[in-house]
Amino acid sequence: MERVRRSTVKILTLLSATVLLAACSGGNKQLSRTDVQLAAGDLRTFAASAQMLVEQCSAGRATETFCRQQSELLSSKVEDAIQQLNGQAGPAESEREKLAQSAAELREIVLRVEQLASNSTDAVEAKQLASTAKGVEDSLRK
Amino acid sequence: MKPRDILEIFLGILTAMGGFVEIGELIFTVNAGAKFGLRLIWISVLGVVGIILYGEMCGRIVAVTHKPVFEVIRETVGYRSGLMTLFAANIVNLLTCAAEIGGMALILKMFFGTNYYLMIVVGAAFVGLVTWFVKLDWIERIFGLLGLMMCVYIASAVSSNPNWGELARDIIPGLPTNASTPMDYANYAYFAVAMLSSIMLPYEVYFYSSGAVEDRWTTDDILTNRLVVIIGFSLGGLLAVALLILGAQVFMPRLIEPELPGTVALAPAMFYGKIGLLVALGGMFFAIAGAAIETALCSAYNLCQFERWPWGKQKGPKSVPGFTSIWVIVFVLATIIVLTGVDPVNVVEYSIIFAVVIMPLTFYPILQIANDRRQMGIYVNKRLARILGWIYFVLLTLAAIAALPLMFITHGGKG
Repeated sequence: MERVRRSTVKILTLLSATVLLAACSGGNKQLSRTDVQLAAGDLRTFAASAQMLVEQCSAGRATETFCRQQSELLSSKVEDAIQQLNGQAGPAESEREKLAQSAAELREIVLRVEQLASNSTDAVEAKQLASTAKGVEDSLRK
Repeated sequence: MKPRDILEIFLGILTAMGGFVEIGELIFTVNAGAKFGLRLIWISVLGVVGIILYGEMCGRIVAVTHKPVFEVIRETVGYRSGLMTLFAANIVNLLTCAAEIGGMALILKMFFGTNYYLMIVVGAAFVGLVTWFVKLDWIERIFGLLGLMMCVYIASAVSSNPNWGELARDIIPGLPTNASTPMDYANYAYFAVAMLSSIMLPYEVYFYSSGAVEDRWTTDDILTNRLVVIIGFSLGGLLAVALLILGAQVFMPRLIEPELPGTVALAPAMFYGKIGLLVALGGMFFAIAGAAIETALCSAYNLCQFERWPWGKQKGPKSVPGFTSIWVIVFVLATIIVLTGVDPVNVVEYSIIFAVVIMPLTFYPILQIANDRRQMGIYVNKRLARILGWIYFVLLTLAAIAALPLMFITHGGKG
């Protein structure tokens, strides 16, 4: 009986420690190299999609409602990517920082599309951001 | 050909369009093209031949024995094993239905610019009311015809000026040319499995066979059955090829792996402007809504056929309350799933991969009955159908074994 009691106490202590650790590390999670690589892939595709959207909307090949709504959806995807990049990435920290910076810039571009205030420079910038993300993605894949 | 035979072809078109070009097919096929160019085109051909083969068997079984798929499953593998298939099949149906309702909401948002969650409710109410009030024949005709707006993707694929020589060469199975690491090959295998699954989704045969029972097919309909599967599924296959071409021609050079249906719709906009965009969105809406209706009805068909409860869409909702309650519950649950805020594209990814796992369990009983001379008489599978049927069964079993490990290894094809 004593053995069972001691085991129960041990298990409960372990569980509490795990929950406490998880709660403390929630705001500053540890990202693996793969996490950063996957985030880079997402960001590359969102930036390139933003470029395509800016081009089609500026050329009048899409309706205003479509441009607004598509950029709103894209914006929420970019926000998810920003959240994904929150934390410390250990050996891939410099790549994470670069991506977080790119994501913030991309958020601004997508916001301008949403407000129908984008211009051709935005397409060029989005293209550059896509290339940057692609570079990071490829370097982490090696 | 009698006018009724021509109308029957609509059943095939709806099944093919709804099955091939639902939200999962849109995303997976375009992404496959964006990642590997035209290299996976052979999977489209393989999948179309496979679904024609098994769809034809299902229709023939109904014409001869008047048994739909889940009655065949229960008779062939027994109640217990059949129950497992039923459970898995209906989970996949529910997930697919949820993804389709989410997809409809995304497209409605592009048209009307209102709140996504409101559009989920509107989309679900639309498919629910259509399923309640409109007869199956008319659902087939309306969604079959309006889904043909998806042909704008075929026109866009041609306008994108692909390399036809390369396309013809890639019909022969081969390895990707742009792969260098083991992860690239794993991604290639993942997309091959997912594409095959999205083309041969089991609900297509459930719906097709149940529709044939509802239309009271007899052996006089065997020729119609062949025409329906060949025309309907080939059209769906052509659309799948067009989506792959657009992935390779439009999205690959731009480094885009589309995650939103709206991004895919930008391809026709590039070639045909606003009209192209609106036609593409309209076609997607009706194809996706058709798939939502099919998956909800399939859940009811499957359960009622398996438990031998009264069923039938043609009988009217009030005469088969059990059957009606099931599809209503599926619509409600599917709506709740997407209202939680889960991404419909992620949902469909899981549903397609789990669908691979149930494929052998669905297709084996069909093959057994179609090969059984005692039940099928002179309409039993001929040698070619038997050999091809077994080859496909082995292929699908291998795909089913590989599907989940590949999904985890490649992080859903993003690795």
